[in-house]
Amino acid sequence: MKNNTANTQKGASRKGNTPLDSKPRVTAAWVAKNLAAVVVAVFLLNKLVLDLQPGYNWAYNMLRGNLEAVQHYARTTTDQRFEMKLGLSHVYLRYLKECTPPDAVILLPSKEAFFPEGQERIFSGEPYNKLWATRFLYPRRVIIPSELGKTPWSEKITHVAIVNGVGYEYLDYEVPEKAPHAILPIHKKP
Amino acid sequence: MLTLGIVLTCLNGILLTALIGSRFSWTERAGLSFPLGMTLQTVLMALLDLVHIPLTATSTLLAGFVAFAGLLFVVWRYRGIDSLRFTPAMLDDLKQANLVWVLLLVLIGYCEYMNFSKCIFFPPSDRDSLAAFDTLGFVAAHDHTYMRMSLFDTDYNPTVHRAGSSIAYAPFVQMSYAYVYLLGAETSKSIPALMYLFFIIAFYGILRRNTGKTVAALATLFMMMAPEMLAFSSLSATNVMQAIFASLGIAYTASWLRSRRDHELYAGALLLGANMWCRNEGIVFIGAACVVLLVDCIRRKSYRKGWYFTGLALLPAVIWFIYMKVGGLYTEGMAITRLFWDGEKAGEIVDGFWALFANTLYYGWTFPAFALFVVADLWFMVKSRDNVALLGMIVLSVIFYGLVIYHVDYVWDSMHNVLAYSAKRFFFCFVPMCWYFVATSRIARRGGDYIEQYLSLK
Repeated sequence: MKNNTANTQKGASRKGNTPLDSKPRVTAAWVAKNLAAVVVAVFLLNKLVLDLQPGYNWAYNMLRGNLEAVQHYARTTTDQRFEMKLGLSHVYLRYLKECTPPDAVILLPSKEAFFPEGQERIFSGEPYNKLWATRFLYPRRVIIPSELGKTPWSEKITHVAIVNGVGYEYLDYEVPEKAPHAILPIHKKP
Repeated sequence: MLTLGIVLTCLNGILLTALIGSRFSWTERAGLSFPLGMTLQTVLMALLDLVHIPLTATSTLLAGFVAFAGLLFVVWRYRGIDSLRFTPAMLDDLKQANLVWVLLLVLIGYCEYMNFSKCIFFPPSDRDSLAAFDTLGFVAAHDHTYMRMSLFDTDYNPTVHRAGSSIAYAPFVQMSYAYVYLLGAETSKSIPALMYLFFIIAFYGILRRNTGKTVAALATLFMMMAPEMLAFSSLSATNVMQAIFASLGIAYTASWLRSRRDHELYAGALLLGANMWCRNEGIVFIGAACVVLLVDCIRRKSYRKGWYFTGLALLPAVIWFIYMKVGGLYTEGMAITRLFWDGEKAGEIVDGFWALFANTLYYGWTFPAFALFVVADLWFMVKSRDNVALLGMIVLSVIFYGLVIYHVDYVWDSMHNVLAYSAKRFFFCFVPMCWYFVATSRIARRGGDYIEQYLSLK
């Protein structure tokens, strides 16, 4: 029963042309027994596993559903796949990345700005989280409001991200037309 | 470059298994190649980082090649390269096939194909990956260092040393992600995808060593389809990867206690060491294995192998400890080091554990099947100590994990959340262990013998 390949090999070579070396043959009895066993196994797997335990059913259907999605969207880019999973959060962070230089230090508004109370949640995930946002903004640095005035890097902010109209208060100049989502330099360019 | 890096990792893993011993089956070698190879690669990366060599594609690949050359020489010199030769005898299972076994293998292959496709296709999107593991690996790859990366600079990230912060997470997952990012990957998902794929092969391999092929395939199918674990296996989180190392480590240790073939003991020690290289809580499995081995050593009045095991299992933890000390990777203390009694907390932990064990939606039939086979195998356990050591390691791990939770001061999270989320995922470790127990119990092995006699080609 043990899968000891070394022993099996030794045994086979020692015995030469003994019955051990004879090729196993597929017989009608073997086929009949095995087909009956397969039917029983499929029946049991179906009844005891998929029918009786919804967890397995869910897992199998989840895999099937995902495989269909994988095949359907096979030609998408990684960026598009991020967008499929993270929705507007990824679109927004990609926009911040495209509109700022690599050495930018970006002030990102708080959780409350991304998910204002009483309003529809258009973002998903944690785009307000420093590490979460860094994954998409790197090598740009990310500063969050709770760090303001507490770290040397918070003194080096170059840009302010505007989310749901929040963030204009950090600018040292007035913006005539306030868009709900934007990225603006913290100091007005001369 | 990514393909080269993964192939090199697998080759290093195969050479590691050859160094440990020449009696692994090729199923085991193939299955262990990636997990062990990646552990070696991440240890090499930590050592490079420790001596201030920048982590680049060139330096990490070069380190891998040097390790490959070193391992190849040692294996050739001391083990004999013949031990790696593929022989026709290794195809005996195919020659003695039965259709139920073939059906189960096809099901395993198809389910894993779906899972692998899903894992590779979707980029990391879960909270823990983006707020920790994946981002740390991504930034480490671009900063060319892990311990000195920008996210660990308090001037930039002032909360990095707070209790529960990711700075003190064991490095396997982040480093392996950094490895694939260094080699040009767009996402880190190749790591969890390959880890689960190779795990299934390794799990079948170790099971096959100890039970009939049909029972091994059935247990592998049930193990890999445990709903919650399957769902998590395609995320970039650490839990399933720790479950892979911990369960294989315990399985090999238990297999050694049964067979006394030393390569199984060393494989067990290395895998348990890798489990702690993956998550700090992994110490509970090393602790449980050490207690059981100590009892065995006392019974046999021989302590040498127990020492080897403990040393090997703790080696990655020692490297990580030195790395943390040098790099200042610490968090505020969160362990309650004094002895105390809090009945409410203890009760909450026991209730939480029980709720998890009884949850068939998360783990499928794993724990009911385990309980059934513990009861059914009781006679053989008493009579011939069948699987008692494995049962001991599983039970002790649960108790030790309960003690760890009891002694942590959860200032950053509620106990309810810890039990509902962290403990739920930690219990993935027990899923393969319990299926290993079920499949290797005397009753299952005897049943397996009947199945093989009745159905297999003769």
